[in-house]
Amino acid sequence: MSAVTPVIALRGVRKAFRGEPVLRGVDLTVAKGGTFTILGGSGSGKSVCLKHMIGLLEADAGQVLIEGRDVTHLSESGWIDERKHFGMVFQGAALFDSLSVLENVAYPIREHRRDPEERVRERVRTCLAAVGLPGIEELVPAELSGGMRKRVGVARAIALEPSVILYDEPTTGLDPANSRRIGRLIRQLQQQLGVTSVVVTHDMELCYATSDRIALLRDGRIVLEGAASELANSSHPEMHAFLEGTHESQLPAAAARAQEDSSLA
Amino acid sequence: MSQLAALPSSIVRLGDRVLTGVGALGEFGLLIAASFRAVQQRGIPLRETALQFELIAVRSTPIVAVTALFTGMVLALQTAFALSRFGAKPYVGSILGLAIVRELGPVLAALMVAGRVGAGITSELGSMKVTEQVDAIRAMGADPVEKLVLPRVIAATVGLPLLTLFAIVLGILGGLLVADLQYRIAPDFFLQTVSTAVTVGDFFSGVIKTFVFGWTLAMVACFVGLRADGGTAGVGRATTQSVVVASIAVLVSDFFLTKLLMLVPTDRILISIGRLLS
Repeated sequence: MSAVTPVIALRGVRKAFRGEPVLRGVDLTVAKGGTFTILGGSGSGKSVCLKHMIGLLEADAGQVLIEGRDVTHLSESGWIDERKHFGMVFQGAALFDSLSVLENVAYPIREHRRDPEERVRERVRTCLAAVGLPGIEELVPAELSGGMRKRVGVARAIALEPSVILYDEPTTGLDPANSRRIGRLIRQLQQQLGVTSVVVTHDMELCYATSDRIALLRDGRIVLEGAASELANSSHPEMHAFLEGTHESQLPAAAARAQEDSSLA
Repeated sequence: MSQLAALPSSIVRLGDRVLTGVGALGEFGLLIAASFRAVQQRGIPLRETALQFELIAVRSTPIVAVTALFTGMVLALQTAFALSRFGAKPYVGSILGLAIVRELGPVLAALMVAGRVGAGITSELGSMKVTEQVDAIRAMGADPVEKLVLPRVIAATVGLPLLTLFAIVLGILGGLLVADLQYRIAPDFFLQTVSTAVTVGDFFSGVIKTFVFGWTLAMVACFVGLRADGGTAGVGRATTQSVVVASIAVLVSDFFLTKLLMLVPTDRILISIGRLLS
């Protein structure tokens, strides 16, 4: 890759759940700016991969580097500082049910800044407007539709003006219109805020609509990586197999289950 | 042959279980350590703790009240029935007072709270875990131990002794009602027999235990909730497990704490403290 230090790099990362390997030596490099998509089928370990980038999971072997710093075995308190620069959008949005939309989006701001109340509310208003949901501060998550929850999740992820946003299956469970809307939102935020986005998905439409680079994960390894423009027209056998579903995951069922447990929506 | 083949696999299973158990104990220890570290580094999250105190302690008063009142009533019935065989019925207050202050008040309040609050904490934290809300807290650079565990554990540790005081008062009141209405023992006399029999030391040994009970049951409930996995079914399993483990922990620790407190001359210590203060 380029001589510039990558924002995130995984080097030979391995992870097993209950003895069943899910990541078997993942190598990937996310450069600054642009959208990096990790593509893979269900149970391929792509959410597990994403969670290593923000320290929600600790690698059994290999290295996780953030801007060149080795954070593989960073303590939880060490991660607290690192995570201020990250925003993460969870598969099921993971909004706090007991808090209003306002308090959900304000959560990271209140956690890390001592801003006056008016400033916090102003920032929440800005974030909600950015995801196209102005004026819903007083609603609670139970009153929102699936698409709205995801977008509030995005608003919460950008509240602290992060330099990296991680999206875990952002279109799962959404109808096509809402999926496209999320895709546009990812692109738009990436361009407006200049952030680096990492998207984990199996949604090809989203992948081509948002990605600058694509990595294909199969059986716990990156089998293909390249610029989106190249791979879109590629007849590479791995890509073909993924699209046609002819290459069923060879992960043992238990490992797939373990991975789903750890990343349940 | 088949027996030989079966033997190692059962040993393997046993070994697996032992390892899982030891691993869980280790993780429990780590959570306890993390909770003390969080208090040390960032203090007590007052606002959230006050909110949890309302949910855990204040809202447990009805169930504790009903339990204590009826236990006091039935205990008076049974004690008077037994004492009447020896012609000692008027002294029902002595036995009832000691039983409620030293043992039944603390343990019944703890078991009721373990059921009501333990289940509530575990199912809430378990749901948050399986819907990735706990991961979301971590991802936003916050500490789930500080945000979720501390407020609940502190509220239960402070709340249970208060609930116990309440249970003791209502238990004795229940006994007094039955003694008066059923056995014609005058309330004055009843209270006199209670206060003669029960010393300040009895009172303290009863209430002091409940700090440990409150801490234990909330810690267990949080731990089991945060370990839940496998979707909603997993949350259900965790909730049952939490109530069972917390109740057993209360009963077992009660025996050892009682034994330990009997070795301490609480009465003498309290009298010396009283003298020092006056």
